[in-house]
Amino acid sequence: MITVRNLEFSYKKGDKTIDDLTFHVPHGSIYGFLGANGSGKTTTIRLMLGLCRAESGEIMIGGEQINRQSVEAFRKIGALIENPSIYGHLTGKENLQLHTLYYGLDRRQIMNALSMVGLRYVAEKKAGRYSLGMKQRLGLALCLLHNPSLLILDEPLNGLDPQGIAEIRALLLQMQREEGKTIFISSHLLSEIENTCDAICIIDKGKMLFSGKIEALRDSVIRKRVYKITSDRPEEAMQLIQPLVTSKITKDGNGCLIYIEDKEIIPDIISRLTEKNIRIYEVTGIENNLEELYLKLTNRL
Amino acid sequence: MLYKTFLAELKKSQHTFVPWLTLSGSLLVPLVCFLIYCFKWKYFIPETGVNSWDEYTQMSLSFASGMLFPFLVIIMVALNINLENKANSWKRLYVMPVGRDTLFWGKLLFLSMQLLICSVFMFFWILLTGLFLGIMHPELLFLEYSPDIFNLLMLSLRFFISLLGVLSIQYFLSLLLNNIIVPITAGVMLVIVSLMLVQGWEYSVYDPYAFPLLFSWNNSGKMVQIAWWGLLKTEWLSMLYYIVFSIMAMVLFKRKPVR
Repeated sequence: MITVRNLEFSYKKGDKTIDDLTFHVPHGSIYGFLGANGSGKTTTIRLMLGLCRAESGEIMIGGEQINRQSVEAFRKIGALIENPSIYGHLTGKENLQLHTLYYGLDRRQIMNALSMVGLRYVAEKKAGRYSLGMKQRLGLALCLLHNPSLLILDEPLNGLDPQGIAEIRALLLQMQREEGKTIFISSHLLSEIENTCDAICIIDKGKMLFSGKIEALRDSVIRKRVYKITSDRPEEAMQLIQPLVTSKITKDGNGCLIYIEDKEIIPDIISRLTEKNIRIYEVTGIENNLEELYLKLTNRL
Repeated sequence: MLYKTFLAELKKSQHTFVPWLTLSGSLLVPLVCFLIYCFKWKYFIPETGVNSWDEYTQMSLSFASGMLFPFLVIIMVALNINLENKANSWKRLYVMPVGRDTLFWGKLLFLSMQLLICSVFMFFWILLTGLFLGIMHPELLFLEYSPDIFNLLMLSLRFFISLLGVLSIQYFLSLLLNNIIVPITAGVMLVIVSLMLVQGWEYSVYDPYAFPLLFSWNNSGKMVQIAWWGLLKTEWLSMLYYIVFSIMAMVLFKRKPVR
């Protein structure tokens, strides 16, 4: 759905904001776009939407090259860029009415869009009086109003409370599954990206560090995996396991945590413990969460 | 699409000061003239054969042309652009299936229409307040003579034309500076400087901020300009400024990156 190839852009000459960025967003996927503040996420989105002109590279959306003349291409794109653009002196409903004029839509779609984001009950309230979370929801409603096949959302969960985050997450997942929408989402809430996205792209200082599935990121970043072995005699188990592994073993409740590169060693560990009549209740692999992976990848951990 | 963009501009002005500004801006001068006539009506009793409407219209026009209408244009344009700046909505407007040129012309058309309505309304208020004066003080002979409606309408159109140069320059400045204070300050200063220079500077006929006043002076006979095809030199120049600055503003609007 989206293909970005060798994208380069700089605000100042000689200081590249985006440096040879390449990634591909498959049709019908939810794609996460991660990066620290100032890493070039929003600039990339602006370039994708033709708000800034790239120095070199190519951006294709739905097979079409995107630039400032791509007027009709915007019919299939719903974009939320940073803070939602809302006219505070107009009500939520009037803000959407304005968009029906630009898009040439039927006004009956307004209440549907407001219902989808849970703002129907404040449709007649001035948008300037909305809370930050409500404004964010209204921004989403503006994106969804024309039923686009592609959503480009820059930090859409900003300002939402946990319930709001869960609702919007459910809405995005529903739109992907039931309507086949492609959703490109940039967020600093790594756990949300992890729970929602099929694949991710991580950028740092305008350069791509990783692009692909989260599992692939785990395999490429983490050499040593963590396993927790729960037994009836954890201290004794630790002493028996130590000669088999190179790294330090730590105690964790009624079990111990081991850090190993090759899982082939696990059967040996189990044999050694059972030989000494230690009862093993559970062997669990503990997965690094996206936050840890991200920090490791960007050398911040 | 231009029509829909125009309607969107109209919708945006809902619940704002803009409709009130259009109404009050057009009413202010006729109201002041009406009050002056009310309190000092004896000074304004016309000599035999003189049409009271001519003097009353000229008084309103001279009050409106110097500062009021140029200021009104400056505020109107600044408020319209500030609406987008305040809502941080440029980035959203630019990713809509509407070309940047359509957005640009829609805004300019809306502002031009607002100014035209304001000018026409002013002459409508002149007519209405004149009729009231005629009823209140028959000695002023407003009811004895008929106002020249066609002439009033033409005056309002030509007054509007004389203001188009200011409108386009302010539009360009507001888009360039993305700010409300600086274009207003620049505009006000240019009006004041123009008012000072117009008293003796021979090149004031090229100064767009002096055009409304020069139009009023020509109408009162204070300064006579040659008319070409029914319009004064300053009116033609005002249209020329309008075209040139609108094109400059459009180039700026189309090329402007959104940060």
